[in-house]
Amino acid sequence: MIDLPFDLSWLDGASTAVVLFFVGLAGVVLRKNMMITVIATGIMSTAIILAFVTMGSSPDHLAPMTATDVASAADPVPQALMITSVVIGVAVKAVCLVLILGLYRQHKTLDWDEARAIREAEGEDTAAAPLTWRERLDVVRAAFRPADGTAPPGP
Amino acid sequence: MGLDQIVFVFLIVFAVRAVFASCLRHAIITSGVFGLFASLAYLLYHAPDVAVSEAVVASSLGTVLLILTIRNYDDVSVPGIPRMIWHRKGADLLMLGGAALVLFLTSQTPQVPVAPLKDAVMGAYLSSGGAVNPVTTILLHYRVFDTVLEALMLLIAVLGVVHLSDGRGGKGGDYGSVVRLHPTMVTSLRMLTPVLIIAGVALIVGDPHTPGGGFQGAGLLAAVIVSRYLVGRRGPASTSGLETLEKVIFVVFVLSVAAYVFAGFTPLTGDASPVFMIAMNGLLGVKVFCGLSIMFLYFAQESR
Repeated sequence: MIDLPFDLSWLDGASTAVVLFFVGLAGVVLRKNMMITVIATGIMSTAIILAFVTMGSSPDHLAPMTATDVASAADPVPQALMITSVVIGVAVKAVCLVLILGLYRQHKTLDWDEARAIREAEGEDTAAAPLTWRERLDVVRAAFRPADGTAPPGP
Repeated sequence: MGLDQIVFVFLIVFAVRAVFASCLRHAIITSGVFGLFASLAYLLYHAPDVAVSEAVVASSLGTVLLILTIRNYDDVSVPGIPRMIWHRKGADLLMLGGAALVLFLTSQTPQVPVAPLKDAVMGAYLSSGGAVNPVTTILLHYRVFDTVLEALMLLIAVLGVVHLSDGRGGKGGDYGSVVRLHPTMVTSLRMLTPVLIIAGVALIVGDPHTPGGGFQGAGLLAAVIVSRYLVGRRGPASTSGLETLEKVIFVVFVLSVAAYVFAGFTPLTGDASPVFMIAMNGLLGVKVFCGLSIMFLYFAQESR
C-alpha cells in the first residue's frame, strides 16, 4: 500500500471501465484517422471486458481454479463469457483492417473526411448534387409507395 | 492505494496516449502496451484465462496486425490535437459530460449481488473434486454451442479477409479465385456444411430444456448460406420466394401466439408446454433464417 495525498479509492474496476470506454468513444468521435478509429474501438472493447471481469471479483478473491469454497471464489461465469469476446474482437479488428487496406489502395488516404471528399469528387461526374432533406424525404416516400406510379400525397 | 489502482491509472494513461497520439506507430505500440496492462488487471482480479487470451490474442496478435497494416503507408502522421478540436466543436464537451454522468451513476449503483449461476457452477466444481478448470468447463460444457459458433465466426472472418484482400480493394474482385488459391479452407468449409445444418436443425427443434432455440439455430443455418456464398456458390438469384415465406411464417407465428394466449394456455405454471415450445422454435427459426438470408443476399447483390 502506498500513501498518496489524494484519494484514489473510487478508482475501482467499474469506474476505470467507464473512463476507458469514454476515452475510446472520444477517439472514435474526435479523431479522423481510420487506424485510430480501430484502436479506439479496441479500447472500448477492453473497457467492456474489464467491467465484466471485475464485476464478480476483487483482488481479495481467489481464482476459480484454486478456490476451496464458493464465497471466496471469483465468479467464473463472466470470465467464460469474456474469453469469447476477446477472440471475436480480434476477428472483427482483422476484417476492419482489411477494409481499411482496400480503402487506402483506392483513395490513398487514411483520413475519413479526405476519403469522403475524394468519393464525392469522383461521384460528381455521374451523380447529381447532394439531395436536400426534402428530396431525401421524397425518396423515402417513393420507396414505400406501390410501384404503379401514383403521385404521393402533398405535404 | 493498491496495486490494482496503479494498474488502472496506467491503463487510463496509455489509453489516452494511444487515442490522442500524433504518429500512428506511437499509437499502435501504446495500444499494445495498453493491452498488456489490461491483461495484468485481469490477472489481479483473478481471471487468469482471460488474461492469457488478452495477452496472446488481443495484445500481441492485434498489435502485429495493426503494424502489418501500416507497413506500406507513406504518411503515418496524424493531424494533432488543434485541428481535431477545431473540426469537432462541442463534441468533446458532450463526451466529458457523458463520462461524468455515467461515472456518477456507476458510483450510485449498489454492487451487483453474487449470482446464483456462480453458486451452481462453483458448487458443481467443488463437489466434483476440482478436476477441471471451471472456466473451461463453462466454455466447453454449458456454452459449447457458443464456442462452436465462435469457431465458425473465426473461419468466416478468415474467409472475409481472404476475399476482401483478393479484390485488391478495387471493384469487381475475382470471387472464383478463392477456390483456386485456398482449396484447404474451401474443402473444410464444404465438409463442415452438413454438420452445421444438422446442428442448426437440432438447435431449433431439439429438447427445449437444453441451450439453444430458434434464434441460435437459424443463425447457424444462415451462416451456412454465408459460407457457401463466400466459397463461390452464388445461391438463389431472387429472394422473392424467401420473402413470401417469411411473411407467411410471421403471420402464422403471430396467430399461434394469439391463439395460445387467448385459448387459456398462458404459461402461469412457469414452464410452457414442450410441444408449444418446439413448434414456436421451429416457426421462429424459419423466420429468422429467412430474414438473415434475405439481408445477406441483398447486400451480396448490391456489392457485386
